Amino acid sequence: MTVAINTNEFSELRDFLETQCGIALDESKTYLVESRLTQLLLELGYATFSELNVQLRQARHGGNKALVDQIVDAMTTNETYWFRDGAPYDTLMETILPEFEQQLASGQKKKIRIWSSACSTGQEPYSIAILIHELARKGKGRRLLENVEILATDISRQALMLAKSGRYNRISMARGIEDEFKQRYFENTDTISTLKPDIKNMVTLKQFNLQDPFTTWGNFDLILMRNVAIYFSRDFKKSLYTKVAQTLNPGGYFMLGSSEFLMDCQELYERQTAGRCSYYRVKK
Amino acid sequence: MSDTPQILSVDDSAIIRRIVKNTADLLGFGLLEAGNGQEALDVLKANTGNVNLILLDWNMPVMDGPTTLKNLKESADTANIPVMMLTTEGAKSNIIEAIRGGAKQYLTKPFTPEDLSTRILQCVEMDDF
Amino acid sequence: MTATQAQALDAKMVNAISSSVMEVLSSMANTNVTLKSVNARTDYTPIGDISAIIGIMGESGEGMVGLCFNSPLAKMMVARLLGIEPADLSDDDCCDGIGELVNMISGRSKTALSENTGQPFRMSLPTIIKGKGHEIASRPKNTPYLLMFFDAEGQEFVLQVSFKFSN
Ligand SMILES: C[S@@+](CC[C@H](N)C(=O)[O-])C[C@H]1O[C@@H](n2cnc3c(N)ncnc32)[C@H](O)[C@@H]1O
Repeated sequence: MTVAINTNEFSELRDFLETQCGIALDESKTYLVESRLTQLLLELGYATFSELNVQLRQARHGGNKALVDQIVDAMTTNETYWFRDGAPYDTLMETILPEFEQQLASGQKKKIRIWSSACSTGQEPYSIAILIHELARKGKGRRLLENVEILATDISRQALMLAKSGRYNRISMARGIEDEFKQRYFENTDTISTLKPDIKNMVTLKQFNLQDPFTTWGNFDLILMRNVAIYFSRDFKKSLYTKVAQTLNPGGYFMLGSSEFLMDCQELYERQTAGRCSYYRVKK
Repeated sequence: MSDTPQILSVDDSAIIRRIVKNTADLLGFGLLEAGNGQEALDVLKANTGNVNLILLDWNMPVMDGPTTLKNLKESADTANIPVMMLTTEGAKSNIIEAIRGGAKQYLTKPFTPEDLSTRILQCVEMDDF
Repeated sequence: MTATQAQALDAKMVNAISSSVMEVLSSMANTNVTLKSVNARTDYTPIGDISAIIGIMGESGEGMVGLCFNSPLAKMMVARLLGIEPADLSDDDCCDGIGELVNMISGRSKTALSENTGQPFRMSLPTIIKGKGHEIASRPKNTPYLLMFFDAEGQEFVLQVSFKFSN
């Protein structure tokens, strides 16, 4: 007994992933895509692709959101690192966060809001919280520390559970965090490092699919959408980056992953570079 | 007998078992280890009722993953323990064989620490840890 | 097999193997790897402190893949794989760690090669050789081979593929 994927069924599935899940399948990695899909099919309890496709067709009309979320979750990885790629965090520390402090000091803003929009197991929002603490320690971020809100969201319920625990094992702790920060901001045992409450409590974690409207979250001064749009179709990216522009406060910042860039929507943003880091500033 | 939930890591590579141990520590699981399928069946016999998840490699000496899976599913004592394959074998045909054989999840090597822990949580259907 | 078919298989092989190397070392060992160059220099023998040899068997022929690392790079990668300090890593663990990384590279390459060419391939278990500054000498006679030079965060390592078509 094998699951024959005939071309029609496969293209139907591909079409569903693209239009309903916003996921574009990478042609160059057919074998990975096919094995993920096969796995997904069987995990969802379907014996053949046509059975799954029948479900999907119903989902398309009735809107089976849970199924869509489950598929997106299964097709994407949760891989993440502390201070991923280094350079963006240098820019935050040297330019963006000090500017936020300045805006609070001058009374131009009362609150700074940051959104890590695909936060996986939490390294990204917690790295930012650590930087804000570092600035405050140096006397250059006291106001920011008191008046910042960090929202972190992801589609994966399990990744959020891990983020909420604030616990990391040795392997995760070997991925991008300096010893100095590890000593200062974590309680460490031989095997596990647990974030101290000062850092953990700065971050609010919620489950959220980026395909849904952003309206519930309010406006932000900085949005990170790093290493997630790599899976998305061009159309979905375009609508996403438009939604981001609408959600940013005037002059707000937008950061993508190091290998990502804005293809469409360039008219909405102004591109900035600092060293090896490129980021965007909304034009309004 | 212990009260902490246990993960059994079945892999002929001690390195992989050590990596799994790191994740077990994180999730608050104990770790039992076996270097091949036969050892796994023995460990299970000695720990009846105490293993909550089995991580199973494919290629191993003495008894390979698919044979082990078959044995696990045929015995009433072990049939209900969720099995997650953790293997370099990533072809469609392998995935189909394993999941049809009763495996609940299939994670291919290489994997990231985040993917290993989120998949384990999915597999044991935990809502908190 | 014609010369063009052989070339196409070579290209697929380089592609499957190099992407597997990059994927395994990045996701498991948190090491950023890029392919710097591919060539067929005959006057170059890879030298390393830890190396691994894997046999490849397919319908169209057979060959081998050799990977050669210097000791600091091997230690750095295995330490990251296990989440420990390089100084706390024993020599045996370092060898086992390299063995497991190479095993994954081999497994991933096999799947990629089989699915990209439509032919089944098999890979043997890796043989690990250690010893300061040894050469990968066992280069099969009359067999074309390619050298792939990788950069791993400033350190170089070399991969050698040779493949002999059976017809
Ligand atoms: C590769 S991780 C990136 C994590 C982090 N931003 C970083 O750069 O290290 C991608 C994350 O995006 C999440 N994701 C994928 N599709 C999503 C969607 N449609 N909505 C929300 N999150 C999504 C995945 O669950 C995963 O945790």
